[in-house]
Amino acid sequence: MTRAALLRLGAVLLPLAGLAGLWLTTDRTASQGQVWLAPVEGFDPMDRLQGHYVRYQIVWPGIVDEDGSPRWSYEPVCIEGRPPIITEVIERQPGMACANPVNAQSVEPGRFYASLERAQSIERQLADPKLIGTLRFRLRPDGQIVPLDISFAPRPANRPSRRQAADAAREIEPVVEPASDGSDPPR
Amino acid sequence: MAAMNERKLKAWVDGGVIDAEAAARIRTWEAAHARPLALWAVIGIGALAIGLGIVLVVAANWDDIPAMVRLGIHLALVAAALGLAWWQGDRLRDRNPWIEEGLLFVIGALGLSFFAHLGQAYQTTSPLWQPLLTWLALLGPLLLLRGQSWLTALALMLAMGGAAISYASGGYDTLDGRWSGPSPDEVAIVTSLPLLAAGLGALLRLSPGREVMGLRIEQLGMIYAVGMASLMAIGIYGWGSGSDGGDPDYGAGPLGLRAAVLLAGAAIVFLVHRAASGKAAAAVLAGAAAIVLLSGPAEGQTAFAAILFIALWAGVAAASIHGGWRATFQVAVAMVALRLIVLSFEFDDDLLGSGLGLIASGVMILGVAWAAVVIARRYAPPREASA
Repeated sequence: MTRAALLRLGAVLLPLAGLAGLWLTTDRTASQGQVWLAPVEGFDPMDRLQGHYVRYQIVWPGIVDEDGSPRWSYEPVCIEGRPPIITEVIERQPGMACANPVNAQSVEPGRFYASLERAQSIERQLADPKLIGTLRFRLRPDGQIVPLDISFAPRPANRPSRRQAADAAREIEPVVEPASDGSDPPR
Repeated sequence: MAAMNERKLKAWVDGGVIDAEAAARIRTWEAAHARPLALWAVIGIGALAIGLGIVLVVAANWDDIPAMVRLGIHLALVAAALGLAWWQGDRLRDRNPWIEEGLLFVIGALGLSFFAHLGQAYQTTSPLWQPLLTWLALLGPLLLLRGQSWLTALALMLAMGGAAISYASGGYDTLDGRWSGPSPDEVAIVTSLPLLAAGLGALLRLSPGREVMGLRIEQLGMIYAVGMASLMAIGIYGWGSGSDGGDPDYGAGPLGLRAAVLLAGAAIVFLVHRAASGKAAAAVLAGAAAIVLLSGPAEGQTAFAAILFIALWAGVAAASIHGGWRATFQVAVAMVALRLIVLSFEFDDDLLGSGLGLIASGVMILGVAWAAVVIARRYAPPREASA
């Protein structure tokens, strides 16, 4: 085989071997880390490119405003507990020892790929104040969150959503949906 | 088609342009070389319908196909296209270079989309520069070895530039998880590196059969270098007046690093590409290094910044005459003219405020444009021979 032919063979085999190797490594890292559960909210329902994915925001239990209402964290956090149950979450300072670190990239709004139908259904349920969404995710050793599933349960009365809690704290009257049965006829 | 040929042949024989014998020879030749266009059109439409049908069937059932099967099919398609390029590449190229070029394009697109597909299947994300760099490392050699067209050269250059800009714009630190951008020194090095394509192209020209692709890569690297130097010269007064007394990107360190990469590119091109156009290219790169270095002291000074920009492109114009690049010369003259026009507005913000100022600037624009056209016509080198 001439040198030129050998070069060509290499140039053809390299992408094939590289892509296959990449798939293998991705597959291997995908099974690393432990599985946890965390409450989520919807994020940016106006995303026009949406369809095959859902944007979500984790609301870490224990990360609260001065008035005690839950708030989003944009800092890297540290979660504690026994998988899959999170017992405590603290915002991580540089140099702090942490058994289960979550890096800030994963604290940002996440993206969960799902089929079009399922994505739209999750989207609707995330917007429903009567439901509470739970993200099942794998926390990789490098602090990356890999979303596995989002499930929903009826929201308990003692656990208001972040919006409801913030409204209550600011003593804002919740907006009442206009009744549709004509009790207040237009004059 | 045949009827028209027959009518023309008859007319030519009657008019004495060709004799009956020649007409007969033409008929025989045409009959032997006739291409059944209608048949090919039908086959083409059929193939297109089948292809579109497959795409639609896959798209409609995308969610029902398990991710691993999808990835497997994707990789199999890559393998099939690569196999075709390996077994039939030369034959395809002999028939029509664009067939092989199209095949390379398909391989490149399938390879790039595989990264996105992996991300979708495994719910992972990564900054853009990572897939782009991996793509370059995996598919760059094949495209450099077999590619012929501007399209392929441009795809490679865009991937390099895109990766550099994506890296320079920062990302999350994997260890401490905070958003951070690279230091000005790192930004300077990383965003300068794509211009080394000029050197890469010059080296590629040395291998037999790769002269054209090498020249294209070399030229794109030069365009990147001149574009970078132009942006440095334009950015001087744009970002200059920071609160801390200057843009860190215009510090001595970053500018020195950019100039060093430019000089390295100039040295490679000078040593490897020994023709007149190679020397001209090396001179342009070296000149761009000087402009980049001077853009530091010129920070915040309108006239100095404009002079730097004009000097850069005047240098490009001079090198074009030396290297015999007609189109480049004309572009360079146009750039100098444009910069002069912009300068006139910079010097007098209120130029448009009065009617007289408007007339004066209009006359000046016409004058500069006229001079540019005259210079571009009269002094442009003759059209470049291909090399």
